Amino acid sequence: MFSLRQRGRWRLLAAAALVAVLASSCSTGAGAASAPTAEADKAGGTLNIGLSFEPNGVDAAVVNQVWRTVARALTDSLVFFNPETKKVEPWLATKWTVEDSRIYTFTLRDDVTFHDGTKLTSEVVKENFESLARPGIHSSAKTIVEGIKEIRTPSENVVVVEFEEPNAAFLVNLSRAHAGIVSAKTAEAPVEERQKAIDGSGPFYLAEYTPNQRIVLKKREDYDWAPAYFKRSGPAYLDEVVYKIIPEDSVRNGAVIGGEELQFIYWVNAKYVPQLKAAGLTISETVNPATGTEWPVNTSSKFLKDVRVRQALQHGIDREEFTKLASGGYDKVATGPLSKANPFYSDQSQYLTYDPDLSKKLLDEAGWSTIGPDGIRVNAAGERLSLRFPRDGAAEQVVQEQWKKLGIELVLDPPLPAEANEKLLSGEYDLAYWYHSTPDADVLRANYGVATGSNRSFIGRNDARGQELDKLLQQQNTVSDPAQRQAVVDKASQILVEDAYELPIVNDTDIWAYQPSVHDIKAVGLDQYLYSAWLSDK
Amino acid sequence: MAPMVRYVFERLGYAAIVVWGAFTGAFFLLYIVPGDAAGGLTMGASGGDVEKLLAEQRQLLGLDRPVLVQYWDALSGAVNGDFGDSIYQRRPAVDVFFEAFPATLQLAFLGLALAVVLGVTLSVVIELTSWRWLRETLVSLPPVAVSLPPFVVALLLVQVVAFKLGWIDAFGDKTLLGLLVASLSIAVAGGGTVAQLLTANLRGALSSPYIESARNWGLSRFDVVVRHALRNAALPVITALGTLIGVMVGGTVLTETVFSRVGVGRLIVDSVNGRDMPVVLIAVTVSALIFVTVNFVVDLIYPVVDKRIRMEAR
Repeated sequence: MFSLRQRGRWRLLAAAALVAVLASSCSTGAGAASAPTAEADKAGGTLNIGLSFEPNGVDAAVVNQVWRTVARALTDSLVFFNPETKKVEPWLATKWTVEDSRIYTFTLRDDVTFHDGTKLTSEVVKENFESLARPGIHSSAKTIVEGIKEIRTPSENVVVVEFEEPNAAFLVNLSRAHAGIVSAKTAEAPVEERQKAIDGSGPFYLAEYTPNQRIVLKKREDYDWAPAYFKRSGPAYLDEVVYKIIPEDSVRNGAVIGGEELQFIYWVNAKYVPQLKAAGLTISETVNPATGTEWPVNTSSKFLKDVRVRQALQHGIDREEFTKLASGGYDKVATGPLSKANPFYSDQSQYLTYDPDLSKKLLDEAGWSTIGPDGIRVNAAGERLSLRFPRDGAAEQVVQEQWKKLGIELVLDPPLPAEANEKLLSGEYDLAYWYHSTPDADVLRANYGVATGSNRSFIGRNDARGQELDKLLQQQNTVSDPAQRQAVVDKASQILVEDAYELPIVNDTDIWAYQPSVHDIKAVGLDQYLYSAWLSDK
Repeated sequence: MAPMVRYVFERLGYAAIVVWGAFTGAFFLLYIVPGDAAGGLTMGASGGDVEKLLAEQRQLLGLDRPVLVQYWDALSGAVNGDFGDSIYQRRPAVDVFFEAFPATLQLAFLGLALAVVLGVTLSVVIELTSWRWLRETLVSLPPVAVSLPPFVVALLLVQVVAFKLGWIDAFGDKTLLGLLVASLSIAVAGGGTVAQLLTANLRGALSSPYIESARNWGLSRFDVVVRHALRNAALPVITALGTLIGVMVGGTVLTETVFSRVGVGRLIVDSVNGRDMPVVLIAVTVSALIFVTVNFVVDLIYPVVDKRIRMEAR
C-alpha cells in the first residue's frame, strides 16, 4: 500500500510542481468516441471524483500539492497550451507580442469577470504576478515570475512583462495551473487564507472545502471565455463537481466500480487496470508531456565521475522489461531525455539501447574487471561497485536486478518525504529521480542547468562536456526562433544521454478509470479539464 | 484517608512527569529525524531555487533558531494551551486536533466497548457450553482474532457491508451503523485479547475452592460462572484495558484510512510525515493525558473491585 501511495503522491507533486499539457496522440480524453448528443441534453448533473489524499489547499499558486483538476476548474490562465497543435493559444489574453524572449506584451479580453463579480484588468494581472513573488509562497509559481524586471500597465487591457534576461519558456509556463489568474482580493490575501479559498474566473467556483473530506465546485452560469480548443462557449455542462478524499486504493476502486459514489478516478495504478476493465469501466491514458521518469546521475560521486561507468549503467537498463514489470506495459519506453509528447522531443534511442555486453566491456575498461565473491565488481583499490538510490519500490527493484547481472550493486535507501528535497539536492546519493510535466524543453535546464537550474547531475567546473551541456541548456531559453531553439535542445538532449548525465527510464502515463456515462473530460498534459465534461446518465 | 490522599498525589505527580516526558520525547525525536516542515512545504517545487525556497520557509517558520529556543517556545506555549499553528493548514493546531478528536474518541471507545462485549461473551460461552466441538472451535477463535491485522478486517468489512450489501457508504459514513462497522474492525483484535485473558483466568477461578462451595450450594452453572468466577477473573482484564485503549487508538490509524473517516489517527500519520510539529505535539500531549488518566482511574478502581487491595497494604 505504501509504495503505491508514494508513487501517487510523487506524481501529484511533480505534476503540481509543473503543470500542464500534452500529446496530440493522447489528448482524446474521456468518452471521445461517444455518439452525438444534443447540447441541451449534455447539461446538468454532478460528477463525483475520487482523490487519494488531502492537498492542504485549493490554490495552486501558493500550495504545491494542489490537485490540478481542481485548480484548473477554478482559474483560467492568460494563455492555453493546445495539446493537439502543441502551440500556445489565446485564453484570457487575446493576443501578445514577444521581443527577444524578454519583453512580453499581452492584450487581455475585456469581458472576463471573477466569481466575486470584479473585472479582469491589466492591474489585476500585475497584482497576480507580484503576489507570486511574495515571501511565504512555496510553490513552483514563484519560479515562473522569477527574473521579472518590471510589470507595466499602459492601459486597462494591456500588460507588459519585462524580464532581466531572455526567458523563452515564459509563455508555456503561463499556461500552467500555478499561473492561473485570481481576483485582486485573492491575490492580496495572505497565503493562509488563499490556500483555503480562491476566487478565479474559471468555469466553476469553490462552493465547499472541507479538509480531508470533500471539495465541492459549482458551475458558473456566466462563464463565456473558454479557449478556442474546446470549440464551444458558454458555461460548463456539469452543475457540480464533488471531489471525495479516499486514501485507500481498494475503496476508491470499489466505489468507482459501483458508480454511485464515484464516477471518475485518475492516477490509477496499472495493476488495478484489469480489475477495473473487467468491471465495465472505461480506461484511458495520457503520456506525460515533459520528460517522464528519469534518473539524474551524480557525476561528482566517486564512481560515476567516469563516463564509462555511467554509460554502462545507461546500456544496462532493459527498458522494455522495465515497463512490463513495473507498470504492466502502460508506461512507454523512454527514447530520449524528453517525452515523445514534448514539442521539443528528439529521438536519442541510439544511446539508450539495452546492451549488457557493451556495459560489461565499459566496466572492464574503467577498471572494474574483477568480480568479487558476492558477484559485485571490485576495483584495484578493493572498493565494491555499489551505488545508492533514494527510492525503494517495485520499479526500482527491476533495475536493481538488471544491474546485479552486470556486477553492479544498487542499494535502495529512500529518505522520508519531508527530507526528500533536501537529500536529493545534497549530492549524497549516486543517482536520484525526477519527474516533470511542463511541456517545454526548459524542464531540462531546470533539472540539469549548473548556473540557473538545480544541477541534479552535480556537473563540476572541470567537467568540459558538462559545461558545454550547461551552455546549451542556458542558451535554449534565450532563442526565440523555434527551429534554432530545437537545434540547441537536440544537441543538449544528445549530450545528456550519450554521456549519461541522466538515465531516462520511461515516459509514464496517467491512467484514468471512469464510468461509461462520463464523457469528454479533456487531458491537457497531465491536467484534467472539466469544462467540456458531461454525463449521459444523470 | 491520609494514605489515600498521598497515593492520589503521588500518582498525579507521576502523571505530570509522563506527560512532560512524552512531549519532550516527541519534540526531540521529530527534531532529530531528518527533514523538516520546510522540506515538506516545498516538496515538488521545481527549478533552481529550491534551496532558496527552503531557506526562506525555514526562516518564516522559525526553524532556523537554536533547538533549545524552539523547544522552550513550544513547551511554554503548550503549558498555556497554545501549541501554535499547523504548518500546512495554517490555523491553530489545537483546533485542527480537536476537530478530529471526537470522531476518534467515538471510534476508540465504541471499539473498546465492542471488544469487551465480544471478549466477555465469547469466554463465558466457552465456559458454559457443554458441547465439546463448539467449545474447541470457540477456544481457537481468540488467537485468530488477535493475529488479524485491523486493516484486513476493515477491508473485508468495507467489501461486504458497503459494496456487497450497500448498508453503509464506502467512505466517510457518518451514520451510527457506519461508526459501528468501523469500530468493529478494531474491536476484533481487542476482543481476542480480552477473551484470551478471561478464558485463562476463568479456568483458574473455576477450579478454586470457593467455586467448589458455590457449586455445592446448588447454584446453576450460569450463576457460578457469571456471578462468582467472572468477578474475580475480571481483574487482569481491567488492568489490560489501559493498554487496550492504546491498541484501539493505534488501530484507528488504519481504520480511519480504510473508511476515509476524519480522525486523529490519520492526522498524526500525516503530521509526522510532514513534520508538522505543532500538530504532533498537541496529539502526543493529549494521548499522554488520556493514557495517564486511564491508568490513574484503573488504579483507583482496583480497591473497589477487589476488596483485598487496601490502601493500608501499601
